[in-house]
Amino acid sequence: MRSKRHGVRRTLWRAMQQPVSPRQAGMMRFVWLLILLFAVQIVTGILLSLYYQPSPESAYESVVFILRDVSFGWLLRGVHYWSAQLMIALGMLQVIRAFYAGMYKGPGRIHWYIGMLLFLSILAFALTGSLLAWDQTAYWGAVGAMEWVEAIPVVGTMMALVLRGGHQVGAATLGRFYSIHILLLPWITFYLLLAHLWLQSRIRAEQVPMTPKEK
Amino acid sequence: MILVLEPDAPQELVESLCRDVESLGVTCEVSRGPREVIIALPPTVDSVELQKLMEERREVDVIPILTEPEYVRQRGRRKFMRSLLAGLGLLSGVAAGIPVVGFLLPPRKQLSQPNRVLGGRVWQLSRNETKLVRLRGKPVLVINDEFGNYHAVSALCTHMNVCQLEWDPSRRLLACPCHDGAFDVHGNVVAGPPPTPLQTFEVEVQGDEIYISREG
Repeated sequence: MRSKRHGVRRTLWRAMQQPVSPRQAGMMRFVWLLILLFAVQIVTGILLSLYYQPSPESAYESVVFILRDVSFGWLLRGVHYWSAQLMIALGMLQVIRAFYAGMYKGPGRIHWYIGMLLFLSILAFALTGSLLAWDQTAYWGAVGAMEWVEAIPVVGTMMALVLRGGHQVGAATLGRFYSIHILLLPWITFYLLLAHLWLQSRIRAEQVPMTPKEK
Repeated sequence: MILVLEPDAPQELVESLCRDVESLGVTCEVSRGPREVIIALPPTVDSVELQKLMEERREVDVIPILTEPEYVRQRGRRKFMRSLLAGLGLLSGVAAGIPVVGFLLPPRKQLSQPNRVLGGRVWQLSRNETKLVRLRGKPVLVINDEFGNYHAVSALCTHMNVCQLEWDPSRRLLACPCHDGAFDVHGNVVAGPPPTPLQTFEVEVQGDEIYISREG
């Protein structure tokens, strides 16, 4: 356990200390912005979970309670919501940039795949998080999204059943989405991010040669 | 000013550099070390002209050597900037911390409006009298009926949920001034348009204190 934690810290430290060429700097700027926003999401998310109640009877009530009665609840909920929106926008821009930089090819393309998985996890966060407000928009949004899942050939119906916990969006869906949103996705994203940074320092550094002045 | 070159810089390069430097009217002092070649120049050299000469030569680094007052001045400025930055960092940390602490504290509404309040004292409320108190922001009537029993019911008529009931001592009823609705001390409708009985509350007498409470 100890050595594992050490490895996590070392990966982060190396990623932060590594000199980057001007060509890489533009890419890394967005990556670090996304990491910052992810940290903001973790802090505000933990705080919101103190008051949020993931049951169909009290979910909406508890969101209203956070917005109206808890001091600065409106602020923390707003920060959580808007930095999520910003993460989607930045993630899209980063994917487009990486695509035009040709990162999907060559020996380092595993880096691109992990980046795509990270972008998908941002979208999964958005999907599961939007249901938690448990108002009409949230409910019908989830109903629509589950119909999309059902449209996937062969496995679609089963996937929708697993995600929904039934044939209709209901109490089981809320519980599942909540668990995915606060337990499963954060850890998946964290380890994908570590892999992404580790590959950044291993592969990309070798691919982009630095000029003598930068050395 | 000093000029720094790679340790394996060829002699011709060093000589041509020296010719350039001497054209500015200063002597050229070369020292070769294991890690770099250094050409030291006296502080009298025209730094602008020197920069211009060295602009084309990518293999040379031009490094200014500061005079002591200049060094002290720059060090002071660095120190000031560092403490300014630390101060601003601290300030924004506190600014971000205030909402978080505020969020963690239980909401004021919950703290100041408990589910149980002191409804009055026994000697304040003689028989066939009522007293208006507030429980969680809602008006509640504490009633002492003609037999000396205490009751507590919501003071809002259930007809429109806005009119406040008044105690009618002659009829021993709670009367609504708006549409002639009336309730008994247990909250049951006895006259008029109200569709449902009044919400009732628990009454507890401890010594001479009357407490009223609701569930939850």
